[in-house]
Amino acid sequence: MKKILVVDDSSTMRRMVKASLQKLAEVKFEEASTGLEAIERLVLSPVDLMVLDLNMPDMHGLDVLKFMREHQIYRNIPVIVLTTRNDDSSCVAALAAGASRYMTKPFETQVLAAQANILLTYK
Amino acid sequence: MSTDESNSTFFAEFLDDYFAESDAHMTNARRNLLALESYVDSDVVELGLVEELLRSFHTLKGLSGMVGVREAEALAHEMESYLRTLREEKARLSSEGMDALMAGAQMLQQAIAARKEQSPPPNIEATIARLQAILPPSEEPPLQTAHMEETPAEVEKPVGSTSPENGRKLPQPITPSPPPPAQAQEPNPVRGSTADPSVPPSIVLNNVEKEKLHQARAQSKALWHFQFAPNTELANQGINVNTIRTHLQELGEIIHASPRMVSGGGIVFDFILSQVEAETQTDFDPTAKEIISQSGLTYSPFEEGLGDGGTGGRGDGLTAPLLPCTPAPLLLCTPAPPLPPAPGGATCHQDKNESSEQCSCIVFEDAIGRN
Repeated sequence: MKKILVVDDSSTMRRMVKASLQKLAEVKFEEASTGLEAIERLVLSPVDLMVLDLNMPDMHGLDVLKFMREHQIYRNIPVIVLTTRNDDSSCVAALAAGASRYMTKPFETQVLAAQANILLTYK
Repeated sequence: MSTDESNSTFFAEFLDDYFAESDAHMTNARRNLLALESYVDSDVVELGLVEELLRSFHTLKGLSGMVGVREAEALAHEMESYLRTLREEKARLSSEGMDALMAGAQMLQQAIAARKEQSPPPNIEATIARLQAILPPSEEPPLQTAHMEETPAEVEKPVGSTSPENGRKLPQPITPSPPPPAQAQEPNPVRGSTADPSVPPSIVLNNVEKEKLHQARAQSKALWHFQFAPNTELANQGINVNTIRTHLQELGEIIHASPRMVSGGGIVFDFILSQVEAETQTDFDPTAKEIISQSGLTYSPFEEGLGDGGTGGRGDGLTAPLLPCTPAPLLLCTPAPPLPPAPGGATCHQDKNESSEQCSCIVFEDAIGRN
């Protein structure tokens, strides 16, 4: 069973992401509504994939990413950044911070599921 | 059925959730807009209010886009753009700006309500034009091309810079952030004791946080440093970083929050909190102290004065609160250097579907140095 951590300050958006990924076989979900909670979840229970929003209370998504990539035990966890930012500079900044994929909202459910699947399969 | 139609049908199932969450955000936004009115034509605005408004409209923009309420998405985007100029001090809150925000919020509410009632959407052109008119000339990003949001701490100006707005010199950095210790050490799972006060944490404040700190000091608020070390035992009791955050928000305003790795793979969250008038507040009341104790928190005065010359004093006339625990002075540090570029270069492919406004950017595994 693979574990996916969905990080977004909107509960509706978290449900949308989970529903999109529900069709993947053998996955279960953890949720976090802030960047700090995402870090806490990682520490208390390892995950196989993270879907990460950027603009969140207390701790920006890019800072979550950088924190993960700076610490060995979280460095190899794949992260899909899912954000409303659709400009090139934001995409490049997220990739430079260690994002594995970059997708924008509104997103296509099938594309998100395919991205998640490939990351889980070849992790 | 096309992919777009399939997607719309899929997310239509979430409309009730969307309406419920939109109601909550609009309630917060209306309250915060009313509070913001008192800052019209002022030199400064309450950054916390602006940030909360930004977050509400940002979330509304994202959710509205997902369920296809385009009018709401566009309005939220324009209000977000103006609020961002306020936060970045590129514009002053004018009466025209305040009126436009109020009108925008009202129209946003109507757009959401129209969808809920399955009635025709309102005409938003005049409101959009009004919101765009209050933006500085260089701050008119079209919806599909520039969604710049808040900037993370890493790319902010370093601590020690002078704010051109107030000409005030911020504390100079004392030492760069040390790397986390490499040696293994058993984390102490005992509630509330894993924060090691002998190791001063390195905290990097971004520009918004620095401004909040300035405002708190100007208003003679007491400043505290809280540390929370989460563990499974606490989590099983329902105590986690979110509940801690809620408790702290009841005690004051959280200026900064960040995680810090400690030896043995554990983690500590650092919070800087500002709280009421320093002249009258020297410690927390017994009820608050009990909550703090039960939550596994440790706290001490925020010794930000160390950054003013290393004397250990605040250097700003603040009354030093009582020491309920061993003080753990903070060092204001310069941001850590950015990570080196990904080996081989990150390859970004942007596929834009005009009809869905979808933009995907993909990087291949090898390009980001994954093992």
